[in-house]
Amino acid sequence: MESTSVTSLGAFWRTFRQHPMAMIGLVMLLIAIIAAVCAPLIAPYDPKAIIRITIDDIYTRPSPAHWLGTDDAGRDVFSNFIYGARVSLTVGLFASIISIFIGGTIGIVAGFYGGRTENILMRFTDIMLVIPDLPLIVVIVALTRPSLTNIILVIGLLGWTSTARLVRSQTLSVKARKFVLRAQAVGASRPYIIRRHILPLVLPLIVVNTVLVISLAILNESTLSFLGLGDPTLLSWGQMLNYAFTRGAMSAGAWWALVTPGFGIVWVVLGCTLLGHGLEQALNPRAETHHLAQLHEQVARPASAAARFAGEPMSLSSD
Amino acid sequence: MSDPSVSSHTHAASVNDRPVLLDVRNLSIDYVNKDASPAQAVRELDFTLRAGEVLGLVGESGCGKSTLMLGLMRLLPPAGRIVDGAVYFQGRDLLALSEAEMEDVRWKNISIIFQGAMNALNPVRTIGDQIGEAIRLHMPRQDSAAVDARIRRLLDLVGIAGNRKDQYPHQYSGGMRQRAMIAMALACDPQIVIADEPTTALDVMIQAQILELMGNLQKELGLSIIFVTHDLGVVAELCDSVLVMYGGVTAEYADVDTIYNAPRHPYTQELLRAFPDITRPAGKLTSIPGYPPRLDDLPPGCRFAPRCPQVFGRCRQEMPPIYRLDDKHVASCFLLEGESV
Amino acid sequence: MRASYLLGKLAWALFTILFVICLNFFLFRVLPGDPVRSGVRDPRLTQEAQQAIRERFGLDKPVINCFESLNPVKSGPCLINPFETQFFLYVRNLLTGDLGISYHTNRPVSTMLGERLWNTILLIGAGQILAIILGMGLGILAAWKARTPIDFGALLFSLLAWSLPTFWLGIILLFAGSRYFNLPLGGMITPGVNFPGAWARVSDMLRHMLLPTLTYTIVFLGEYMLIMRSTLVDVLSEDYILTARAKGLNHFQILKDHALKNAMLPMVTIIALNLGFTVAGAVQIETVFSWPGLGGAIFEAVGRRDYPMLQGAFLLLAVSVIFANLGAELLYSVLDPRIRAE
Repeated sequence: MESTSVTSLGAFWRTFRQHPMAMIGLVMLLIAIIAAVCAPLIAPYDPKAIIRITIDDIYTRPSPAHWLGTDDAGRDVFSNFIYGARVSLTVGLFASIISIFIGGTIGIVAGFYGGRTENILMRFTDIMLVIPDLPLIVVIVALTRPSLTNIILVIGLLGWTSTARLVRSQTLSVKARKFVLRAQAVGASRPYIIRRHILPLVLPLIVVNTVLVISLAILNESTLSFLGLGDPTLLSWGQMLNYAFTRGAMSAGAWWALVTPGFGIVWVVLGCTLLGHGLEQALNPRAETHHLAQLHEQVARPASAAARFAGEPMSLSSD
Repeated sequence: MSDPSVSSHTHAASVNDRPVLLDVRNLSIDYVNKDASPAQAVRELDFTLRAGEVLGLVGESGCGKSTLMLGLMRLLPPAGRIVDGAVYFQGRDLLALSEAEMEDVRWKNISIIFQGAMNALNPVRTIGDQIGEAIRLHMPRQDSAAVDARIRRLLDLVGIAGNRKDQYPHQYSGGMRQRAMIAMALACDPQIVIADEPTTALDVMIQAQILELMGNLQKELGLSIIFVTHDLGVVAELCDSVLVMYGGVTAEYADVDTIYNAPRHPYTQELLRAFPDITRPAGKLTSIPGYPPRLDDLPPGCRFAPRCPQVFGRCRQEMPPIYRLDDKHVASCFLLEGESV
Repeated sequence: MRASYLLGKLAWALFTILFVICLNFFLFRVLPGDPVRSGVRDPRLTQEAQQAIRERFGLDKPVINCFESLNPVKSGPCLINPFETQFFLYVRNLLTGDLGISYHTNRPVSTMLGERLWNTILLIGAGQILAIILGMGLGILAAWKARTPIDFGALLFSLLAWSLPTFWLGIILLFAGSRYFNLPLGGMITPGVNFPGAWARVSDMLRHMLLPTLTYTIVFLGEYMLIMRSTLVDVLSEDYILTARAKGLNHFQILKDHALKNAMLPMVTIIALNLGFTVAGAVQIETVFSWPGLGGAIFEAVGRRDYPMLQGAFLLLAVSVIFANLGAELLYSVLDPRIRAE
């Protein structure tokens, strides 16, 4: 985990294509993105349209009119589900940009400059790593106004610790390489070295890490919304689950209102996880064998071999 | 280091009368490759080891020495596969044993001293514990006091104070770790000890101490040792016979005096030329140009042909067979074709 | 073991706690809304209670030093006694175990949290132990059988388990469990029942614990399995494993006596780093299953705008994680002779 080998982005892409897991993850994410972008074309109902409902419209079973039934307010679950992708992906994208920027900067600066700078930055990272994320996010969002911007900011500003640690250790290993030492010896400026030599070799790792940070941000957003701290003007998957859970979907037996939004979260997060795992394998291929691994029988000689020598004298230099 | 040509092997003659302990026949080992054809790591190897004999296994790195040794103990890495041959230990074919029977042979009959003892010892268990583990496994009738006494005796044998048995490997110096490894190899009174480059990664002084220790132990305990090395000085000092390997096959196999005084294979001759000898004037140190062949990309003919100073046309097309030059001297080179007995 | 190593770790933990205390103090006073001040005017409190809060928090005193509510523009001459500040009062109250009065119940927060702390420890403890045992077991199997279908199946399962939102898995299990297996809908014990004996009481509690513990186990199982697998593959590639094989040990003996202890070292580190997520899991699971623990307290306090409770629960959770982390570091130093012997 700590020491990763270094590759260029081009070689990285070529290996990436050979990892089916990463490709499946990428396709899953692309489907989610297309659904989010084309939501008005896919969703049969507009979730913001005002509808008149009667008691019979609440939690109706899936039917041709409502493929995935209706929710506690008589709205179409499938349409809400499609539109919900927008919130999750937006939060995931923007929060992770913030996290990656902070974590990447801290990691590179700490790893490259070393000394007291590194000590202070990494000590701070350690503290932030120990403080439990979710309760802190809950506290801050509860104290401020729960809006989309606030949620993105809070999740982004608190989600950088693992990135900082990873990027720092990668920077340390890149820094020790010959061409970096040479560039330093001929007097290239530090920002120049970082831009030209360090960044290109840390970037693949950052890309892999981004995918995982996105999935964590999406999980955090949905948890926050489920706990009732989502943006009240938007309908995210977490929000849908909050409404369903607190407004009687359990007792009504409305599994469609409970399963559907969670499926969306799992789809996106699993897509990220598969992509991230595949990318990691492509970036840092590991020898997957060890001293106890058995791929085949160790002795595979022809049956005749044992018999062939059985009768012969015992030694080459027979006396 | 004494001049190899005048070194006297007083017991060399008697060695040949002792019983054969290990008889390796036609051993061939492959490394299986997922996409390509298997790499031929060892091909048709024959040798014998008698009681009390020290055999030197010589060659550059990557010529199959370690693979051969691991193959004998059936400890090859997952890709390794023994594709032909037989390994007789006291008349029993080790390759025909079940895995459980083989586990019984390991260490009790044949033990191995690995190179780089730093990682060969478990960092989170004490030295004494790791030696005792082997004793308890293969000599199960001993009570803990007897095991303890044996651990102390073994450490004493290699020059380590018995009260250091409760220390961890990181508290030992490199030389001491290698000594501890030797003590561990002797734990169950094995008939054969394989020493796989036991002195690499140690500094010269420590190397000399370890070699002296091994020489003394060999005489004292009458051990049979297979000494894997690329240092011909070690061979001259310790060994009775020498097997020179190149590219996974036998180049030359003879007793130590023959190898030093009358080498016949060009590779042996080149190795001896490259061997730094204090009797030679300084600055005449040579090394064989080029590198050993990659095992997955072997030349079509003789494996030494691309580097051989005496190469001729036939060498590049055909593999030379093994020619028997006299009672105990074989070599694989077309130059010797007419001399075979 | 070196005393300075221990003292260093302890000092660092204390420093982190101090940081959390500061964070906790300033978050609740600096962020918009200033809940402490608005709390004084909370209509749920009696006149006397409001006055008590003013005195307790020293709301007529400056926040930390010269600054009125941290606004540097309004700083006057620095003649204020630092012992007469809100921050000092806050720290002093903390040291005497005083976390304030809940707006919702008018009871001391410390008493309420004390009741709930053990419920959380019970739930997290059971879930973590199960997840660690099962995750390590699966990880060992996957590592031993590396590159086989068993290994691949375990990997896919772990990635899926990691991707499940904890609260959603809880909801689905609760839905299925309460409908088809007649399990309770939440809580820790069936209310209003007079249990005939201790065993009946315990078995009722176990029925309540089943689903939350299962949720917890599944969520953390995957990650522990992945880590165990990759660490063990690394350990099994080491030279000393080859030595162990050469010694004639069989696979079981090698795993038990040579590989596991070495693989445990990174595991302990990872488990320690994961403690923060553990708490996140507790918040979600306790919310879904109405489990009366600290995580549930956070959720309830948010809904009721019960700021002293929120502040107290956060502080207690953070401090617990810090101590658990310290414990893991000490455990590591006991396990690793390279640290222990120095």
